[in-house]
Amino acid sequence: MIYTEQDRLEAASWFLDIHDVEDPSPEMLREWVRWMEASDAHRLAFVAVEAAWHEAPADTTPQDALIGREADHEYDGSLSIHEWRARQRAQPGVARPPQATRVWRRRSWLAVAAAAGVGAIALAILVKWQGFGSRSGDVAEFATQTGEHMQVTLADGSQVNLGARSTLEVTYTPLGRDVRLESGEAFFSVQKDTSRPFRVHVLNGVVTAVGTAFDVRTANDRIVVAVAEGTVQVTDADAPPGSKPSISSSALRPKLVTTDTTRITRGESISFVSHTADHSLEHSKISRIDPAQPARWRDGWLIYRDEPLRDVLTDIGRYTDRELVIEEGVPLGPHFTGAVFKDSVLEWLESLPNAFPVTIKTDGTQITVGPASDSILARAR
Amino acid sequence: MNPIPSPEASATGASENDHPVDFAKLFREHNAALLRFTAAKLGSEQEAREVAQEAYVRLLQLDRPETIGYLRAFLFKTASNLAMDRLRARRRSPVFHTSADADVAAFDLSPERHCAGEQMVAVLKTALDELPAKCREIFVLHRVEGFSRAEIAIRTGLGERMVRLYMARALEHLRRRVDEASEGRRSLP
Repeated sequence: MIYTEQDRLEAASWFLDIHDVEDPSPEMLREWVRWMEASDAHRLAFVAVEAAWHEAPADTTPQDALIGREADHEYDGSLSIHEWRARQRAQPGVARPPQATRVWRRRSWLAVAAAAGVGAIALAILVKWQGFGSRSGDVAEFATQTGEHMQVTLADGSQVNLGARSTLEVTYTPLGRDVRLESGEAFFSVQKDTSRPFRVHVLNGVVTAVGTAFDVRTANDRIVVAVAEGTVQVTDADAPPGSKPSISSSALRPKLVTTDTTRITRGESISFVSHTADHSLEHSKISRIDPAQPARWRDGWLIYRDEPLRDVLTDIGRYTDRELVIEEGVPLGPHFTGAVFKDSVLEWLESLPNAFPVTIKTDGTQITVGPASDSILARAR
Repeated sequence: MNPIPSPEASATGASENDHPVDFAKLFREHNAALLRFTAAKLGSEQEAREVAQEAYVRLLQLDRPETIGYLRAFLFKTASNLAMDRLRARRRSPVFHTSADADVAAFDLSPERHCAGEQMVAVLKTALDELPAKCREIFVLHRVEGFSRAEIAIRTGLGERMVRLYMARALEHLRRRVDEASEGRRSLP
């Protein structure tokens, strides 16, 4: 090599400054020219890093950057990446989390970058917001795999933590910030913007916030909303059965006929099932909770409060790779209250028969939850 | 790391602003730097020359004679604006810019010749994947998405100095890998 490592690093720094500057000051130009003229090696190194910059693949999206990478929070820039990698290899510490494949559709540049990793420190990126005036709005979709968590920062700075096996569609328009939780769970930390309400659509329900932090979860037909900060308005919209209120077609003003609305605030949670006589929003009781609880799942704690076992099972199924099969006849009646750690879902399931009238059969790919009576009959035979 | 321009340096700069205008001298002293400055932004020697040419034309169109200091600033600022215009136009109608660009290949000083175009892209792609995630993210945001340092600082919650350091480390690493690849090629029989 014709230049030293030091030359290369200095060249990289100079290149970035020269590349980025729009109106260079005389001092900067003078310093740069002085550096360039100090040696041939400097000029060679400068041109060399310039070529590397311009030839670097431009089809790489920042999303790809974050998929299944080792935790790198210890990298602080003081070492060169070469040295850092050598050290990483020297001390093979934590095993890499399973590689998560991301379902990622980028339908417009609004797309918001996301960070992922089971237990890994997630990074978040904001995206340029230039969509004002675009009538259709900008849409992005995020989806996680089994056991995967994702952190997303939306264009307005609002943050979303997406739980395992969850899908979120984001539609931002000048008039509103609409997101649809298709499945799973999401914790929202909403940036205050009174002119553009933040609405979470889930099944037939809508959770509207101006600036607050809250969790929304759906399993089967149930919607659970829990508030960590501020106040949200929960609306059970009356839509014809089977038709999901679309936020993409009429994103500017979702045409929802309100049947019921409840406001819940910090330290409260509500659990309801749309369009049922007994479990509708109207008949739901607001529970007092620890305001820290709605976000606890991000640390791996799945917390349920007086929820039907069936819905708890469906929800917990997002944290195991094995297919969770809930057989007909599993009692709907018993409710579960408690916390399950995401890494011990299997053990929790296996111990269920001790507390509930169910049976658990596991094999390599499936976990079958059946009604207890079956096993009693089977044993009797 | 770059020496940070000292206040003394700016103080001494004041005197040369009073020199009478000498275009030939201006060109002689700054043409190489102007071309490199512009090529750094555009990634093409050919385009850099075109832009520099136009910057000189605009300089000569100024109706009042000015001091050297002003003209030099004007020259770089104009070249910078013209380069930005071209980059914006490129983004609107992206034309693939590769190292097959005869101009880059012909570039005198470039060690690029040792590592042919496509191979270099492959090496760079691998090198990019080796970066620590945060480092890679910052580099890609800047290089691919065109976010400014200040924007990235806000998005990542890091200071601008750290953002610059991460970008420099990333670029250093990419170039290191290209250099290693070309050394390897040269050592082959």
